[in-house]
Amino acid sequence: MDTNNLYSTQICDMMNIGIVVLDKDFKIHYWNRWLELHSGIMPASIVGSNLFDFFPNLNNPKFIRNCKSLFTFGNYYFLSQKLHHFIFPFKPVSASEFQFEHMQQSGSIFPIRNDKNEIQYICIAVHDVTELVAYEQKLIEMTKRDVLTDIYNRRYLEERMKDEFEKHTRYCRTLSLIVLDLDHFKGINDTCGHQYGDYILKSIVAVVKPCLRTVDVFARYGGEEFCCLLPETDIEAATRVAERLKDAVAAQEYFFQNTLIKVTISLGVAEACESTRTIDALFKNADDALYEAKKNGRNRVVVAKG
Amino acid sequence: MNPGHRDILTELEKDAFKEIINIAFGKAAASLADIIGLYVILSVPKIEILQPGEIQQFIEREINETKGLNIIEQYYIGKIRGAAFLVLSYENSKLLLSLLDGAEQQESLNFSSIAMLEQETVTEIGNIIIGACVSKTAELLKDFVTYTPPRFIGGKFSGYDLPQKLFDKETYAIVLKTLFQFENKDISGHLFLINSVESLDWLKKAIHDYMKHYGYE
Repeated sequence: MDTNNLYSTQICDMMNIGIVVLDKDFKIHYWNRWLELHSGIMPASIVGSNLFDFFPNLNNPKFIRNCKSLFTFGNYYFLSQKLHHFIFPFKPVSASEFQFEHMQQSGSIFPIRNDKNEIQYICIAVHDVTELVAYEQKLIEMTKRDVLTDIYNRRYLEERMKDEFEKHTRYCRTLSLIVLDLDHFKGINDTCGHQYGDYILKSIVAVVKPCLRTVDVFARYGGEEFCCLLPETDIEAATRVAERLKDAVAAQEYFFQNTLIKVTISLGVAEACESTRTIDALFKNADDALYEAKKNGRNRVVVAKG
Repeated sequence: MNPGHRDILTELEKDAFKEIINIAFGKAAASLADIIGLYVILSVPKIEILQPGEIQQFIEREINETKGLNIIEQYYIGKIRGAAFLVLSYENSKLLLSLLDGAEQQESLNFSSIAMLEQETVTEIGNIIIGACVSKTAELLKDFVTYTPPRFIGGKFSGYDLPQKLFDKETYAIVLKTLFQFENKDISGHLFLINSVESLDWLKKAIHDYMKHYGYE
C-alpha cells in the first residue's frame, strides 16, 4: 500500500463523518467506521450489496436523478438537513436530542474518478447536525415566547394576526379577537410589590389558558394586557369565550399574606368584518371595546360595534 | 500574455471558444434530457471580456430586471475556474415546482413552508444545470472541475461582490451568458459563467488544440 492510500484509509475511518462509496448500480464499495458505528452494520456485511436493499428510503426519483447527474457531469449534490432531515435513518446519538426520532444529517455527494479521469464511483459524505438543529429550534421557540408567562409574545402574536387576517380576507373565514386587561393591576403592584404582580400575571395565564382551544393564539401583548386570537370564530362565540374567561378569573381566589385579593379582568371583543380592512383596525376595535369596559366599571365584556 | 488587457483573446480565439461553448452546452442539454429527463433549450452563448467591476452592470443589463430574482451561485475550480450564476425570476421559480414528478410532491409535504420548497427546488435544478454546462465545457477543453455547494441568493443582484480570491481587480474575466428555457414549459432564465483568466495561457492552448483538431489551423 502506498503512503497516500495508507493516509486516506485511516483518515476516512477516523473522521467524524459517514463515508460510503457507490458505483453506477448503487452497489456499495466502501463503508467507513462512522457508518458502522451509527448503523450497527459491519462493512463486511454491506460492501457488495445494493444501497437500496439496506436503505429503501433513498430509492426515490430525486436521489437517483441527482446521482445520475453526478455520474454524467461530475457535479456535486448537496443534501440539506432542512429538506431531507436525514439521509440514513439512524438514531440520535445523545438522549438530550430525544426530540428527534432520527439523527439530523446533512450531506454531499461527489464523484470519484479513476486514473483515466472517468467517474467510476460516487461518494456520499454525511454529517451529524442534530445538535445544531436542536439549538436552532430552541432559538426559534424562544423568539415566540414571553419570558414571564411562557405563553406567546407580542412578536409571534403579530405574525399570526397577519397570517390569520390574510386567511380571513382571502377565504372569507371568520376571525375574532379578544383583548383583555387586568383591572387595577397598578394597585396590586404598588401594594403587594412587583414579585406578587408577576405571580398574579402567571396565575391569570393559568386560569385563562385552559379555557381556550389549541388553535387559539393566547399571547401577552405587554404589561398586563393579553390577546386571544380566535380563528374560525364569530362574534357570538367569541363573546361567550370572553364571558367565560371573565368569570373564571373572578372565581379564582388569590391570596397575599393570607388576605384574599380580588382580581378581575376587562375584555373587549371584535370580529373581522367588511369595515375592518386591516388587522390594525380589528385590533383597534377590540381595544376600543376594552376601553369601554374599563370606563363602564371593569370586570365586564364589551363587544365592538361591527 | 498580460491578462490586464481587454484583447486577451483574438477574434479568432473568441469565435473558436464560442463554438466550443456552443457544442458543450448542446451536449449538456442532450445529457440533461437523456439522463435526467430535464428538457432544456440553451441559447447560443454570448462572450464578453470584462473587468470584474463591469460584471455586475453587464448582468443587470442582460437580465433587464434587478428585483424579484432568485440566484444560484456556485464556484467551480479546475484549470478553468470561476463563478456561475443562474438567475430566475420569482414567478419562474414557482413554476419550476411543476417540473417535479408526482413522487416528489409527496416528499414536499415534509416542508415547513412553500418558500423553502421553492428555494430547494431552484437550488437543485440550478446545481444540475450549472454542473452540466460547466462540466461539458471542461470536458471539451480536456479539463475537469470541482464545485462548491450551490448557494441560494434571494432578492436582487446589485450589491453583490465577486470573490476576490477568484478575481483580481486588475485583470479581465471571460463572461459567458446563455438563456435557458424548459421545453414545453414557459420557464426561462439566464446562466452566467464568469471565468477568471488566471490560467489564460492554458485556455489559449486548449482553444488552439481544439482549432487544430478541427482543422482551423
